[in-house]
Order: sequence, then C-alpha cells, then structure tokens
Amino acid sequence: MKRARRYLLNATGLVVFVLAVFPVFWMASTAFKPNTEIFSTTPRPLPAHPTLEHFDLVLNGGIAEVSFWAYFRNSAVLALVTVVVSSLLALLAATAVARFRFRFRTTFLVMLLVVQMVPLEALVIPLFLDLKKLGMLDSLPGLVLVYIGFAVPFAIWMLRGFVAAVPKELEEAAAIDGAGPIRTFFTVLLPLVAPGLVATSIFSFITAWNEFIFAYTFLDDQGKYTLPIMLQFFFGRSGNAWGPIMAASTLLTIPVIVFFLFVQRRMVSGLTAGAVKG
Amino acid sequence: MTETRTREVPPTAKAAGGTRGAKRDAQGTRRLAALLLSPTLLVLALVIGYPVLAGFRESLFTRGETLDADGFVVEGERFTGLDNYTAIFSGDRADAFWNAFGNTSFFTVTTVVLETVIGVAMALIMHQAFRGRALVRASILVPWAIPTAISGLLWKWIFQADGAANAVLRQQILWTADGFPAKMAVVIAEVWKTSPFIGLLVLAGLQMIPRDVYEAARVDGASAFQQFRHITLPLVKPALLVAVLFRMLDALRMFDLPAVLIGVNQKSVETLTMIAWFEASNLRYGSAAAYATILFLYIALIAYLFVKLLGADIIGEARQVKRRARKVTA
Repeated sequence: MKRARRYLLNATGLVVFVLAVFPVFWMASTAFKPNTEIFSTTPRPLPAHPTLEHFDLVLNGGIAEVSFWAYFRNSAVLALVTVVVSSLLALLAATAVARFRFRFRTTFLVMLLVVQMVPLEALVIPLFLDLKKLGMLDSLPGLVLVYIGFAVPFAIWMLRGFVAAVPKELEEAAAIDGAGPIRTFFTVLLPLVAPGLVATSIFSFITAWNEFIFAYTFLDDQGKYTLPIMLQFFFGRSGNAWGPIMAASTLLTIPVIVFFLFVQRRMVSGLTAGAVKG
Repeated sequence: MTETRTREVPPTAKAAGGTRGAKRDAQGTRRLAALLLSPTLLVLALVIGYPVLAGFRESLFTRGETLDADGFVVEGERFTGLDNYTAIFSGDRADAFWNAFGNTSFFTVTTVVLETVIGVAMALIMHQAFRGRALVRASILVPWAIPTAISGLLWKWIFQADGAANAVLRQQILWTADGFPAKMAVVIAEVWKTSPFIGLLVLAGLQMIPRDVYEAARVDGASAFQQFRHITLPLVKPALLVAVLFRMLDALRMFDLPAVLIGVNQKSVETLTMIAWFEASNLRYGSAAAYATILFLYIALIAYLFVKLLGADIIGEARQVKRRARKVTA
C-alpha cells in the first residue's frame, strides 16, 4: 500500500514535470535545429544536427543596425532600476500599511486592488499624452517610471505580510536601546524583511523585462529599443523565422529563469507571508 | 473628532503614554505614514491615476474632423457625452462587443476553474513527501517565469499545423486559425502558464496547517476525503480565495496571450482589452477609452461580487480586528 502510494506520487510528479517543462524544452530544442529540421513535417524532439546559426544571427546579425547587446543593455537597465526603485517604494509603503493605523489605510489597500482592475493596454494613449506633457516620451527614465507604477501595487501587497511578520517587540527593544527610527529601520526591519524584498523583486523584474506594448509605443529611437521589441523583427510578411525567434526567446528567457531559480525558495515563503498572513 | 483620533491609536501606545501622549503619537503616526506613502502615491497618480481620469474624460469626447453648422471642416475634439458608449451597443459593433464580452467571460471562467483544480492538485502533490519533490517544485515555476509574449510564441510554434501538438495527438487540427480550436489553444496556454501561481499559493496555505489537526481527525476516525473536506479546504480557503481573485482580475484583462498566439482582430479569441487596444491603435481614442471604462466596471463588479458572496477576507482586516479584540479581552 505504502509502496504503491509512493510510485503513484512519483509518477504524477513526473507527469507534472514533463507537462511544465516540455514547451520550454521544445523552444530550446527548436533554437538549435537547422531550418530543414524546423520545417520538417515530422518534428523530432531533439535536433539531429544541432547548429548555432540562429543564435549567431540573433547575437551578431545586427538587425536594424543595432546589436543584440544594445537591446540587452537597455532591457537590463530598465529591469534593474525598476526592481530597485519599486522595492524601495514598496518597502516604505508596506511599512506604513503594516505598522501604523491611520485613517485612509483601508482606502489605500482597496486602491491597490482597484489598480489591478485597470486594463492597462487600453490606456496606452492617455499615458502617451501624459508622458509627452512631462517631457519623458522616448526616454528610458519615462519608461522606468511607467514600469514602477505597474510593479509597485503588487509589491506593496506582498511585502506588507513580511513587515507584519516582524515582531514589533524587536523594534521597541531597539528604540529602548536608543536607536532612532531610521537606525531601527536599517538595522532591524530591513534585514528581517530582506527575503520578502527578494521575493517581490522577481515580480518587478518580470514586469519590466517582459513588457512590450508600452516600450514599443513610447520609444522612437532604435538605440533605446528593448529585447521584446527586437523579437518582433523576426516576424516577416513572408513567414516567421522560427529558428531565430526561438533562439532569441531562449536568450530572453535565460535571465528570468536564472533569477527565478536563484530566489525560488524565498519566493515560496514570500508568497506565504504575503497572501496568507494578510 | 477627538474620538475618532484616539480610536486609531494602537492599544500599546495608549497604555504607555496616556491620552495626551497618545494624541501626539497619533499625529506623529499619521505624518510618518503620509511621508512613507507619498512617493508611491505620487508615482501611482502619474502613471495610473492621471491616465485613468484622462481616459475617462476622453471617452466623453470625439476627435477628428467634422463639419460644423456652416459646413466648415472643424478639427479637434468635441464633447459628445455618452455617444461613444451608445455606439458600442448599436449595430455591428454591438455584435463585436458581445462577442468579445463572451470571449472574455469564457476565458476567465474556463481558465480560472481549470487553474484552480489543477493548482490545488499540484499543491496537494507537492505537499506530500517524495523524492523528486524539489525538482517538481522548481519545474512548475518555469512556465510562470516565461514572459507572456514568449509563452504565446512558443505555444504558437507548438500549435502550428505540422507542429508538436498535432504530432503528439496524431491529428490535423488548425489550432491557430480563427475558430473553436483557437479558443482551446488560448485556454491551454493560459492554464499551463498560470496554474503554478495558484499551486504555490495553495501550497503555502497547506504548509501553515498544523499537523496535529490531522492526527486528531484520524484518531476520531475521519476518512481521507473527510479530512480534505472538513480540514484542508476550510483552512486553505483564505489563501485560495486571494489567489483566485488575483487570477480573475488578470484573466479578465487578458491581452498578450491571445494577441500573440492567434492574432488581433480574430473573432474567436478577441477579448475586451484587445478591442480597446485595437480602437486606440486606429486612433479612435474616445471609443477605446469607452471600451476600457466598460471593462473596468465589469471587472470591478465581478471582484465586488466575488468578495461579497464568498466572504473573501482580502484586506486581512477582519482577522486583525479579531486579533486585537482577543488582546483586549486577555
């Protein structure tokens, strides 16, 4: 009975694993296949004659006279600045929400939820005019501002659980020992909330790293384009170049997967704190 | 006025400082809270608040060239009241609207139900101890980590006429052409991508249930199903409801996945966000904003009903009030 149960569990685990990973495996496998195999009518799981030609085209092809690394740099800068600034803002706001009772506290929390109901893609035009007024159109700082706005509500929502989980007594003890509020914040609260910051940062990272529509609408100068925009260049009127598309997709996915696997354990506990403890 | 102020003071401060100190404390708290929230509020006002209001205003205007009373061409925007809204519900556009409304609702119901069932199952499996657990847990994060646009692309590739899906199924289904299989393709890709989100949140909820509750139930002779029905489900409910609500809000705004996987302006997969975006990209801003407003109201209504009917404690307020009450009685 116990043995059968163990086999069953391992078997279901294996099925879940295959279903979760297969499409990604298929993407990577296609990226290494020569065109004759990609467009063969009997697709095979592994490339028979693996090739790096698609990666070569993506990395060194110089599409639209801008190199892959320029797009990569733009995307990386956008994502990192978004992560750092939105984590900081979220930490401040989450501290206020989790630590203090004030009159508009509930209103603020409901507002964060309402923001999650706004169909953002439909607001491309008003946001475009908004940024134009601010003189931040066609600039990476303008785009960063937009991404921070998209990332911060969910980050606050998740972080407040972490802040609430830090025992208040620790801060009070620090205060009795003579630490001011700022010192208490940096020496007591910040280290204890750090795992939560790691967990929320992954969401902010993905928001900025993956975003396409706003980047495409707001940026004009090709030198400022991001990786998701680059991906679009492989879609031609005469059919899609699936090899380079899959190679570029693989390259775009690697940083996210690395980031994910890196913070995986903390993220699971992060979700616990954010969602369950309230 | 004074009464409402003192009520906001946390009980600990009251005990320590007396009324006068408490009042000063409350004021300091308010100021500090405002200071901590202000950068966030500023960003949200610029990036979300202003565009939402501007968009709503836009929905009451019509742009473009029109003829005035004397037959001259006038350019610019005109106040047209609810014309943009009534236009959505008349003629051919009403059909398109109800089609998109139906698709949006269909996608939301099917994907969220499937994700919940699969997510809970995933969580129950991952909660058991077995050898490959760490690997399975890491692997189900992969779909979630893949950028939405890329997951759309890779499913489009799998669903090609001579792609992997048809090869595995030994069928010739035209997944990416306009039609029912296209709907299925979107549902499959979406469920693949987002079930892990529910799975992880539920797993987190499961891990917080103390083991002795189950032991007590077993001593009392409860079957495995009874344990699930009367212990697991009620205790996981708060985490599950939050996860489902967030998924619903996302699913109702679905855009990238059908747009990349099947394409825009395809009847079978067009969602309300896609119509709104299509209108905006054709420079009909007022109309686009009207669609966005209607969708927003629809989402808000669904969220409100969800919270009211299922009693989801989304803010976490109820529990805190209870906790405070317990402290006072103790």
